[in-house]
Parts: sequence; structure tokens; C-alpha cells
Amino acid sequence: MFDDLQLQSACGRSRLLHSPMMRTREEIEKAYKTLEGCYRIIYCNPTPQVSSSLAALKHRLMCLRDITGTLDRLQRDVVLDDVDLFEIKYVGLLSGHVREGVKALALEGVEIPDMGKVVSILDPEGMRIESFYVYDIYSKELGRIRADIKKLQGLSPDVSVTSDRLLELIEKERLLERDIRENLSHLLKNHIAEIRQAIDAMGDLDILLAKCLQMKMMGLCIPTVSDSSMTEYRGMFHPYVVHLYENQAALGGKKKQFQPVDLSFGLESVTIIGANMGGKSVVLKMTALNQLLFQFGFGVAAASARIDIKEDIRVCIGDDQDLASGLSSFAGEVKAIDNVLKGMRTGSRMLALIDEPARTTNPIEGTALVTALLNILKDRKISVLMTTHYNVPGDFFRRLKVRGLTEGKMDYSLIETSEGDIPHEAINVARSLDIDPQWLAEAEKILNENKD
Amino acid sequence: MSFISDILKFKSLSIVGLEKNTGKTVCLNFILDRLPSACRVAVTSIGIDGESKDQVTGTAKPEIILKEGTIFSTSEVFYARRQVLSELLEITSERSSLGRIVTARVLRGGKVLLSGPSSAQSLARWASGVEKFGPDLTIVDGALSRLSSASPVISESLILTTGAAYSVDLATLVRRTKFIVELVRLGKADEAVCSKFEGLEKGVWGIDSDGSLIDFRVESSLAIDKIKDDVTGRSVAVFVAGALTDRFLGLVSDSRRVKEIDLVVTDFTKIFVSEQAYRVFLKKGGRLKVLRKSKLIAVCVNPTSPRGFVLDSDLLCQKMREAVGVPVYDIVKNRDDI
Repeated sequence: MFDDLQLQSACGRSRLLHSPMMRTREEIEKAYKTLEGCYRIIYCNPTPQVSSSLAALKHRLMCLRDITGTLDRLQRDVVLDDVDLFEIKYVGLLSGHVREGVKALALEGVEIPDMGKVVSILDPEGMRIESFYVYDIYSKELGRIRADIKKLQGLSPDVSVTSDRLLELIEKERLLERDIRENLSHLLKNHIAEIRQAIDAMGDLDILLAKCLQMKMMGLCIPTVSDSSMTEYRGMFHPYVVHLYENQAALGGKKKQFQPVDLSFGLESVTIIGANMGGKSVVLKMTALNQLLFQFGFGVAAASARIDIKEDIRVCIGDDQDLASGLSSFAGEVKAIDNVLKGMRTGSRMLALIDEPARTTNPIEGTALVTALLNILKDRKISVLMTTHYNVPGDFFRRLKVRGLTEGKMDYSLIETSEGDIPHEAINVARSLDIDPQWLAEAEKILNENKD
Repeated sequence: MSFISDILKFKSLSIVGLEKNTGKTVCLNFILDRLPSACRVAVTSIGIDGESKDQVTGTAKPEIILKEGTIFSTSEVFYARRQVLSELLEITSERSSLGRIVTARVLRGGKVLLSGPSSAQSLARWASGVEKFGPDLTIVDGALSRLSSASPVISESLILTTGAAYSVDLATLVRRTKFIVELVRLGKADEAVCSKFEGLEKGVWGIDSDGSLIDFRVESSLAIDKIKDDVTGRSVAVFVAGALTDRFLGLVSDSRRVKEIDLVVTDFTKIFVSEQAYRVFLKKGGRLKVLRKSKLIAVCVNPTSPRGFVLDSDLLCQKMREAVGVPVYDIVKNRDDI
């Protein structure tokens, strides 16, 4: 999701990479107020004027260059050369244009600091043109010397034909220019903070516009911050799976529709059971994704959502088997869960998403490990979503179940269920995948014998 | 003044040297000096990465003398060393090992070192980017053995410089130059053929006798063995989108249908065939054509080799003129008569 943002500038990207996860209601509500306002202006029945202002603004942001290197040098009292000074002036003029663009669109909550003072240092003639040299106007003497050089040089630009007088003047000019650059650098140093602020603000604006576009493209919603400790999603979806299906359909493949899922949970442990290929892991993945999107102020992948703020989000999904560090699947998994427990003991508000814990060991020990894990988690004020195939006894946690195969079709919706209801659909699912029939028949035979 | 007025007929010009020390810089400086002052020029040079000194002789890179009003692009490092008063207009997104490429306008004439974008693609981007400053003529100072900088994608016209540095034997020099000139002046393929092949960026393609396009499904003419018979079997025109090599040319030469096939390349910079292979191809009745053509304005000769050997300038100009069929100038000797 982060990589998919259509950012115009490197500054936007670097701001995004450096943005911290939001953890307070004020921050998150403010971010969504701005996002919603901006989205409404640019995508809800935009006038042609709005569309063209938006395109112009995006083009401006595309011109935003990363000049942190130059600013760092300025901070260290390095005398800037013409290229550096040009860069700063360029950003100054650009921020003016971006300010106007923001005003034209009447975007609320977007403040681009005024760099007027910086520009006036580098634009002494007030031409507001994107160009720079050490202007004559900076010093009376410089103007005079340049006029003299021109007179001496005549029309010939070939400076190899030089007199001592000309050389002397050129040297004088060089020294004067050097002094002026030094002075300009000195003046600009007082404005470093405001230059950085302006660049950061433009980077943030870039991110904001990209988030709006992403909302539109992926059909994301603006969530509300939960007042209780409940998190509720209506019509939650996984943007990448949706995208994948669309691509497959576009390439003439089988048309598949992603079935959105409703899910709500509080400060509790919830196990999700269900058939293989029933979308249990996808539920965990999209819950994790949405929690992150929420705390970074992105549109959320659901029809509507009310989300509780978490201080810590832990995800244990997939196989951490790692030959290089000598971890087996099981070791990788228990280490990841161990991390969750350590995090839990710090007492922070946590959302932990654990996919089939202890699945890589024998079912007897596996069940014991999962039961024990749920036992430890039960009195903690944290939210845990855990998928499992094991039949865990007890009623100290909530159970959800993927509805599963009905009339040969997979129904991915989640329903409440009670102890002992573990689906036995592995063989049916395998059959739908065209797996070797001899193998499956043999397995069914064994199952039936055991039953008898 | 027909030399300069020929140049002014076009919006863009590349100057390429067939060898070091063939007088490319002299030629560029001469043109910059002689162009009418009302003509606004934008100039850059194809940058050789990291080269600030002549790699062969160890002398400093030649300086270009620019007049007031000229727009130039060079690397940051060379910009800092300029001896002109100039106004910085743009920091482009092109980079070289000597820093970013910047564009500026000369306010008071003088010398600069030029080292611009270093690939044909980035030069093409430069040429379109510099348009916003409204030049009447853009000039690219090409590099040694980089004909690609003279591609019609970048410039409409070109000047070749050659001379004793390329060969000290007059006959050889004329023959080798003539071969390059022949390639530059290859005729354009028919409109119908051009429109079919235009826009194809890779692969080998053909047109059969009823005019339909055939994709031979190879990435380049380097992988041709598989499709030998297909290519020469039924096509009336064959297009090589990438480089044309001796092997591919030989394949067409050896075909019984060589006389019935128009062999087409994008432009002369894509031709990498030896003179011998080309002559054999011609002798068997082969035809080589291009999709895009640039105008060769003149060949400029430098009769002096860097080792001190000097050819007879007048004789060289005369022989060269007879051989190549375009104007030939010795800019140093005849600068007042051109």
C-alpha cells in the first residue's frame, strides 16, 4: 500500500518513510479530517477548474527536488555556489506556486509556510523567474566592474585575448562574487528551519494527494476512531486480492469476486476456525493491514470501519523457516509468538494477529500449546485474533468460524460458533483442487474405519 | 557563407568526429562564432564519464567559446569552472560522474567546458527539455566513436569531422570516410514500409508480398540462426529494430532473394557492419534503407595528425569532395573563405 502511493516527489517519499505511527486520537482524527476534506474537494463532483488546478499542483510537486544535502552544507557554514543557491531559490518560488495551488483548491488543514523572505534574498530584482546568478544589483561595485569588463572585452567573447587590466578586473569580479555568495549563505542560514518546514509541508501535501487518489482507486473508506475498545469492520476487503482478481478477469481468466467480510472484536481473544482455503489468513492479513493504514492515516479497506487505537501491532503470519539462521518452521514460529508475549508483558495496548500457532508440530502438543497461549492471554487487555485447526476446549475466548463450503461454493463470511465445532472439510477442499483421487479415497477410508 | 546558412536550415545539429583530433572542437567553435548573433543557440556535449582530460594526449578537455545569450548545459563540476558570466536556468534530472547536468544562459561571453548527458537517450531528453528556453538551434558536440549522439532522434542534421588522425594515408582516409558518409546518406524506405515499421523498438520484422507485417519473434538480429529461412523466404522488406550486424547482413546477402528484399534499419547509428560485408551486400544487389534520416551538412577535415604528419589540405579536400558528394571544408586553413 505504501509503495503503491503515486507520489510526485522524492521529498514526499522520504517524509512517508520517516512518518511515525500515530497513537493518539487527536492526531488520527486531525489526519482524517484533512484527508476527508481534501478527498471531498478533489474527487466528489469536481468542477473542471478543480481538476485542472489539481493537475497543475501535482505537476508543481513533481518539480520538488530533495535539497537536504544543500541545507546540511549551509548548516555547516559552507559557502554555497550558484547551483546550490539556484536550488534554494527554485524551492522558494515553487513553494509560492504550491501555496497558490492549495488556495485555489481551498484545501483545509494544509499549510505551506511562506518562503517569501528566502526568495527575496535570492531574487533581488524581484523578477520571480527561476534562474540565478550573482546579480549586479547585489553590489554597486560589482555592476561597475562588469560594465568595465564588457567595455574592454568588446564584442569578442574570446578571453584569451586579454590585457592585464582585463585580468585584474576579472579577478576583482571573482572576489566580489565570492564575498556576495558568502554573505548570501550567511543570510540564508537564518532561514534553514523555515526552508525545511516548507519542503516538509510540500512532501506532506504530496502524500495527502496520493492518499486521496489511492482511496479513489481502491475504494477505501474514512474510518472513525472507536470510543469504546471495540473495533468493527463492515465489508472489509483485501485491496491486493481484489486487484489480483481484477487483473485475472482483465486477462480473460475466470471472473472471481472478492467476498467482503464483517468483523468486530474488542479487548479479547478470538479464534477463527474454518475449512482450508476458507480465507482465515486473509482475514488476519487484512485486519493487520487496516490497523496499520488507520494509524498512518490512510483510507481503510472496508465499506465502513470504527477502529480502536493500538500502541503495538504484532503479526505472526507465514513460515519463518530460515536456513541461514538455522531456524526450523517450528522454531521460527514459537520465537515470533514469544515476542508477542514479551510485548504483552510491557502492558501496552496491543493487537496481535497469529496464524495457526503450533501448526508445525504434532496435534497433541500443538493443542496444548495453543490452549495454554489462550489461557495466558485471557486476562490481558489486548486484542488477539488467532486462526487454528485445533479443537481447543474452554469457553474463555470467542470463537468465529468461516461459514465454509455451502453447495460446493465457499462462503467466506464469519459467524459465531461454540466449542467442538471444528470443520472437517480438508478432503472436500482438496478434491475441488483436482488432487490425486486415489490418495483422497484412501484417506476417507481410514477416517471411516476410525469412526467405526 | 553557404556552410552557415545550410546549418540554419535545421533546428538541431550534431557534430561527430571519426577520430580524436579531427577538429571537432575547432569546428564547433567556428560555427558558434559565425552564427548570426540573432540566432539563439543551445549547446551541450555528450559527456564521457569522468573524463576531464583528453584520455589520449593528456591535455585538458577543449574549451568552447560561447557568446552572450547562448544556452549551454554542462556538469556541475564544469559549471563551477566556467569563465563566463551566466545565469543558471535549470538543474536537469540527468546525472553524470561529474555531477548533475545544469543549464544556463551566458550573460557575458567566455569559455566553458562542456560535459552533458552521456547516453543517446538522455541526450534526446535534453534536446526536448531545452526547448522550453526557446532556442533557434540546438547543437550537440558528439564524442569520439559515439555516432549514436548523431541519431536523427536527437538532431536533424550533422557534420562529420575526419582527418589525418583517422588515417595518414590519403586514399584510406577518403575511403573510410566515404563509407561512413554512405551510411549516413542511406535512402529512406518507402512511406508504406516506414509506417508499418515505425514504433517497433525491438526484434526483427518483415513485410510479405501482400503487405502484412510478420514478427519473426527474435529479440535481436544477434539471435538469427533460428529464423534464417523465414526471414529471407517470403519477405519483401525486413526490419532490424536493434543493431544490424555483419552476420545478419551476411544472411541476407547469401539469400537467393537478396535482390527482392529491402533491408531496413531505424537509422544509420544502428548499423554496425564492416565495409567489406556492406560491399558484398551491395554487389549482390542488396538494398539497405533507413526509417529516419538526418541531413549531412558537411564533412570537415583536419589534415594534421597529432603525431605531426600533415596531408595536403587542398588535395584532401578535393579528393574527399569527389568521393562523398557533400561540401568539404578545412576550417583552419580556409576559415576566411567559408
